[in-house]
Amino acid sequence: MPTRTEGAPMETDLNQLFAALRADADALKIGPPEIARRRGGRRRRGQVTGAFIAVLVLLCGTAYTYAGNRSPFSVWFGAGVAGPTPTHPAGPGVALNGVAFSPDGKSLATADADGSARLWSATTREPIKTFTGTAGQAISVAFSPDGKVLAVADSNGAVALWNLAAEKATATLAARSSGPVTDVAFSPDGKTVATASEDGSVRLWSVATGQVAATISAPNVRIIQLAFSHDGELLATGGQLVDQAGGQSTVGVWTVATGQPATAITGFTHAVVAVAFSPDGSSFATGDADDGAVHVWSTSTGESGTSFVANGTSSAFGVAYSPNGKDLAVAYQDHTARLWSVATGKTVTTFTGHTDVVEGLAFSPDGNTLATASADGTLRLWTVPNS
Amino acid sequence: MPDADGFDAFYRGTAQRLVRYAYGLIGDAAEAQDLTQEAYARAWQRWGRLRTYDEPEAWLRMVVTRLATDRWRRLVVRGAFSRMQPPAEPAPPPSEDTVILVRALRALPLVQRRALVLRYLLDRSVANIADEMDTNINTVKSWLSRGRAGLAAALGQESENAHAHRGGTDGN
Repeated sequence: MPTRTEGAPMETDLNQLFAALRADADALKIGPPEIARRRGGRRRRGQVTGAFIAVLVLLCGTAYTYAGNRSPFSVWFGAGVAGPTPTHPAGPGVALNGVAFSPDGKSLATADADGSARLWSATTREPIKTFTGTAGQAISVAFSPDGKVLAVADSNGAVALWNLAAEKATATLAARSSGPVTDVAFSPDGKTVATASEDGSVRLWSVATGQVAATISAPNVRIIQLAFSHDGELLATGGQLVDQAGGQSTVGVWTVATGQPATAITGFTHAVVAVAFSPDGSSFATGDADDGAVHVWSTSTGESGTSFVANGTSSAFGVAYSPNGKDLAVAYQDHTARLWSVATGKTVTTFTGHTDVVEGLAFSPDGNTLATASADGTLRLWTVPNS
Repeated sequence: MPDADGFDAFYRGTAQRLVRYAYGLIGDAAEAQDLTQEAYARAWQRWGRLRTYDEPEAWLRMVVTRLATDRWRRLVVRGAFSRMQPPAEPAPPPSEDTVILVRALRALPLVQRRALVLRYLLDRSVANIADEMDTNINTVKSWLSRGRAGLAAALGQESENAHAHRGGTDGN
């Protein structure tokens, strides 16, 4: 039964149009299966064990969360999570790709899919300022350590440095033909900005000169996310293999001064799109885009220790340590964010409310608030339970 | 690896349908090819388990749907793909009808688009679509009906525009 409006096509016309689409689709060439196998790489080992553990952790996590939020024992589980506070920074339909807290905790910045970066008051939750960017998307935002500058990475391959007081761009860091910039971070001394680009390299820019001071590149790895250690000496990176058959690990630790690997990490080939250093710098965490697992790595040995597995099918798009280092917050593809206890490896709280992928998250400097940015277009602030 | 545990046969038997699904959902030939390859790459990683599923194809469609709707993943996937692949064999230009339909489809909400694509491009029954989309038959019927109405409105608009264009003065 076609719905008919005046002058509009009927079911038969739709059938004809769909037949045309089907013919065009069926004319598309697809490669041989070998390409998919090569791209997929080695088949996973230990799937049964992995699935079992995932289910077990999921069940435990669910039970734990349930207990934490609903049972009379809630106080023991650090419940008391305040209701979410959704705000619609860019209006409905504009996805948020990233979020950062200002160093003084008074404001937040979001990277918006409409190309803008927006500054928000953490107290009134009102917009303060919109920094209108390029025609592409804003992918990532970072505050300078003194809170005076906001770096905004965009999908056109440039990073704009905005002077927040003057409300104007003071510099644009752009490398020729680098592809979209996928992440940006300030060094703790504020003198260097690190950018990861689709071309696979990490560029270390001098803020003073606006020039590239050093470049880090990993053969066969496209570096997608990066994080400075708190002493500024190391950079942890996560990325994706260009060719699954070509070896290399997708996770790396680099000495900033030399651009050389600081610690060898071998045999890890999953795509990694989230990286964060623990506050004491002894370890760093990576979020897995392939299976949603979060791994904690020793900075000195490169060995993987604890893993946090929420479920077997999701992806982790953001990780952040609480300022006291006790909790790890993870942004997931399944529309949730979770707080994990680093000590116990268990879920402390699951934050539900977003209606699309959670793309990024950030703790307030005092650790009491967690901000999550989602593709659903909302930024939410959550009260972090005391641990 | 002669047939890689049946993966190659499965691929050959299903890939064209998956490309069709992806094309209907995304409306871009190159991207549909990209996401299809990516979905099979993921299927290969899990093939040991996936091959035992009743409908591994439904799993693949789910992966394509996710990839198609997740901006961040698309950014990641597309970049990687363009680097490791020789450019996919360029598609012949789509017919005028396809261009018109794809434009109208893109304006629809995802659930309606998915339902229409499953119905009209993959010939699935309404009950089957309800299963796959984890809902009931009435909801699917409503999506299909609203989807058709949406398409009709968009197509009507389009023909009006075309008419106005033709009716207007030629050139500037």
